[in-house]
Parts: sequence; structure tokens; C-alpha cells
Amino acid sequence: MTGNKADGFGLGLRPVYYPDILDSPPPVDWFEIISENYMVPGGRPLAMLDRLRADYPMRMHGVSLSLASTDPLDFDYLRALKNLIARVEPELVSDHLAWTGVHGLNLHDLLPAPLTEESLDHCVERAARVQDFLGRRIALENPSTYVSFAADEMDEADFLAELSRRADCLLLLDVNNVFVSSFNHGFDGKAYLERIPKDRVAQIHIAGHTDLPTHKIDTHDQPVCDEVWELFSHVRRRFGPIPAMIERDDNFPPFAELLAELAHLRALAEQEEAAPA
Amino acid sequence: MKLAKIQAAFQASVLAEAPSPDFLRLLRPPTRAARVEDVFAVYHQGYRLRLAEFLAHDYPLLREVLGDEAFGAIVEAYIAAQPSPYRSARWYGAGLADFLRATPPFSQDSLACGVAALEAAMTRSFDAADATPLPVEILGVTPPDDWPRLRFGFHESIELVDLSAEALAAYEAVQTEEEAAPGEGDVAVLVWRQELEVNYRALDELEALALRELIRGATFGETCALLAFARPNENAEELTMEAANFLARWFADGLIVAAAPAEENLFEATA
Repeated sequence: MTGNKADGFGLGLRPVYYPDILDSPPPVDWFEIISENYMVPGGRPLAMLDRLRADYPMRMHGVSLSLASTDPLDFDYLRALKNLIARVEPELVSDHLAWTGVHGLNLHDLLPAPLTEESLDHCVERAARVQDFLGRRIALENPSTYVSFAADEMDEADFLAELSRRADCLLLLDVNNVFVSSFNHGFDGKAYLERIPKDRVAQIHIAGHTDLPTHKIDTHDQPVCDEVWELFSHVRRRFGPIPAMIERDDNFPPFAELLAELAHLRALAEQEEAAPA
Repeated sequence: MKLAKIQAAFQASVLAEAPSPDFLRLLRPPTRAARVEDVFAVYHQGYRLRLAEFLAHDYPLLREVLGDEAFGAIVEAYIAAQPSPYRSARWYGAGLADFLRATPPFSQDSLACGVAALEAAMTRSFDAADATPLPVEILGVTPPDDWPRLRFGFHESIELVDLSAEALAAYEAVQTEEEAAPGEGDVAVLVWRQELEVNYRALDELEALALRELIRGATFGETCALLAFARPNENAEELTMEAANFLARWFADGLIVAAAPAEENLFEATA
């Protein structure tokens, strides 16, 4: 089985950049939308979505699937997601290995899943059901985490490898999250990447984060740091050409700066391509 | 420990003022931080910061009218009182206006309640369902005898907000950066979206009454009768003309998306 191996370099679509994008269509291969931002009845969000979708391929990235939660799957959410998928016809639909709340509440955060056999069984079963309902494969992203559980029975990379194999789902590899979590938990990011199955990774995320002395936080509000660029080059060497993009969610720079970061991403990828094997 | 119990304990510790020691024992010691609560703070504090950010985004004018301190107190009280059951933060923000109206001491603050209600209405209107406005020409092809039986369908983006004139003046003052005109009593404000732009305007009593009645499903004839009842000392024909003028403006503003004579039996049943 394969993921979407078509190459390409994208950006996270954020409303703050609508005017820039409309003024001068940027050299972006595709945009990734936050699915929930467009799960609204109508108005400007959907009008802009349709307008930009006419010119650009799109990918959909959700933050509310709550895959690892022990609450029942939210089929109202999944129906809305399925409707949006029909509207956007995205190349890929993704969410996270995370949970957002239990007992009917939403903490509006991507909370860490305990890495236990029980949790793995639970996520496998739910990912399979979600895929059945949507009628397509989804990709699950490795999260940034700040705590780990005494009950953990395996490493995150092994958990994701097993989850993708057993649920027959894809993976979205967030390089910044690997970097952040490897710092926070003291593991080797490159060793982690070695255990991620090559044929499951369908997309790459790159982003900036916030550095604190004792931990790093995945804030998406800074330029991508040198270590993450370096790790991306490593990913490119290991995984080959996979669609990759930059996420920016706060402290928004002028659009030109984001495009410059994207050009750098593209150049790094091409550099790896040109390098002798 | 089972997954469900770990998640329940995790969530309870995020929502509590401080994480419970029992829960913290479920976490591995941090790699660099001195205490595990220092890294759990990313979730604990992050929860409050994120919700506060959503609310600041949804209520910029309320924040400006009240100032950072009073707005911060409202936000803190709302977050503490009401965790989010919504999958989208958009709906969490929308609940702030209702919370203020229902919760002392904020419910006594007509300025805060009014500005919040208006901003919440603007947000709902912004992405309410789309519909194609009906052209006013439809009235021209409707035989005059059918007018009293006409019922109208209204755009989903329409919101009618009752607030104090003081709150409306404060809202407009921060928008226009001009001194607030003094206001007294309450006023009804119509919020609606035309094309993709959200608009608002204050309605006089008669227009608010007519619009509410028609949105409720009354026919044009029933609405005119209500206006005559509400203004017994005014000329009924002039009131009907005024209602027709309101209608023309609502058509022009894109408020009306459907019109049809009421079914004969339906009309009789409600007459």
C-alpha cells in the first residue's frame, strides 16, 4: 500500500492571508485547511474556501477527531467532516494521535494518549471505524507532548507504526513535533524516525515552536528553527518525496516571509534529491 | 490504570485550580523540569490561555469598552464556570453573552451584557447559512389582493438583539473612535449579512415589531393588524404604508429569501 507520493509543497491556509492570496496567487502547490474552520453553515469562510479551491488542490487537517478519547465517536462531527470532504475533494484528510476531552467536554487541546496496549487497541478500532464511515483512509499526526505516563508500555513511534499497520491508516509526520517531543522526553529524534514505516507517511508538517529552558512548546508562532530544517533534510533522505508544508498559527509574519520559508523548504528538498544516494 | 480513568483524571486536573497530587503520580518525572507540574502547566495554563484567546478574538469591542481588567474578570469567571462542550471554539465564544445575561453580578451590567450580545450576534451572522435574497420585483407581480396573505422567509443571518441604548452607543463609539452619544432606555438592533458583509442598524419600535411578527410567521395582513393594534391612535392605512416601506427596505437589504401567499386553510386557521 502507498500513501499519496505526489510531491508538492503547501501552506496552511489561514484567514489572515486571504487578501494576500487573492491579490497575487502565490506559488504554492496546495493549501491545507483546518477542517473545523469550515464546518460552519455559510458566509465568508465557505465562500473563500470555494473560491480558493477553484485554483488550488487542498488537504484537510482536523483537530477535533479525538481519536484516543474514551468518549464515543462523535458522529455529528464525522457527518460534518464527510460533508466538507465532499465539498473540498481533498487529496488527504488528517487528524492527530490525541484526545481533546472526555465526559462530553472539549479542552480545545491535543492531549497526549497513554502509550499502552489498551490505548493502541482503542485507537486502532476507532481509526478503522472512522475510515469506514468516511469511506477513505485518514492520516494521523504524531503530536507534540509535554508529559508521558507511568503506565506507558511502548514508544510513540512504535505505537504509530502499529496503529497505522493494524488500522491500515496513513501517517502525517510532523517534523517539529518530533523535535519538540524528543527534547521534552529526552529521546533521539532520528532514532524515532527510523521506526516510522516509510510506506505509511503521506504528508509532512514543518513549523516553529517556543523554547523554554526545560521544555519546548509547539506554538506555531515562530520561524522554523535550524534543527528542524536539518531534521527535515534527514526525513527527506529517509522517506523520499512526500508532500510537505509549513504551518503558522500565530504571530503571523508578512505573507512574503512565509513564502520565503516555503521556498527554503523546497530548496532543501531539491538539495536532497540532487545529492548522491 | 485503565485508559478511561487516566483521561478522566487528566481532564479533572486541567479543569481544577491545580492538578491533583494523585494524578501527577500517574505521570513520569520530567526530563529537565524540576517538577512534573511545571510541564503539566502546558496543558493546565494552556487551557485557560487558549479559551481566553478565543474570547478576546470574538469580543474585541467588549474588551475595548470594558478595558482589559474588567474583560479579564469576565473571561476568567466564564472559563471557571463553564467548560466547553463544543467541538469548535466558535460556539464556546458564542455562549459568553448568554452567560453574562444569566450570571450575577454581570447580569446587572447592561453595558457589558448589551455589547456582548451584539458582538455574539455579529459572530453568528457572519457564518450563518447562505440563501439567495428574493428580488423586490416579486411584490410587483403579486396581485394586490394577495398582499395581506403573504408570508416571508428570512435570511438565516438575521439576529434581533435587544440592548440598552447606552451599550449600542458604546459599541459604536469604539468602532468609530468617536465620543459615545448618550442613550437612554432599550433599543432593538437588527444584525444581518448581505453578500459576505455583516451589517447592523437600530430599528425603531414599529419596525422591530413588524419584523418580529413576520419572522414569527405572521402574514403581512396580520402584521398590519398588529401595528394598528399597537398604535390605536394612528391612521391604519398610514401604518400599512409604513409596513410596506419596511418591507421594501428589507428586500433591498437582502433580508427576505422567500415569499408566498399563505395557504388558504393555514390562513384561516391562524386568523
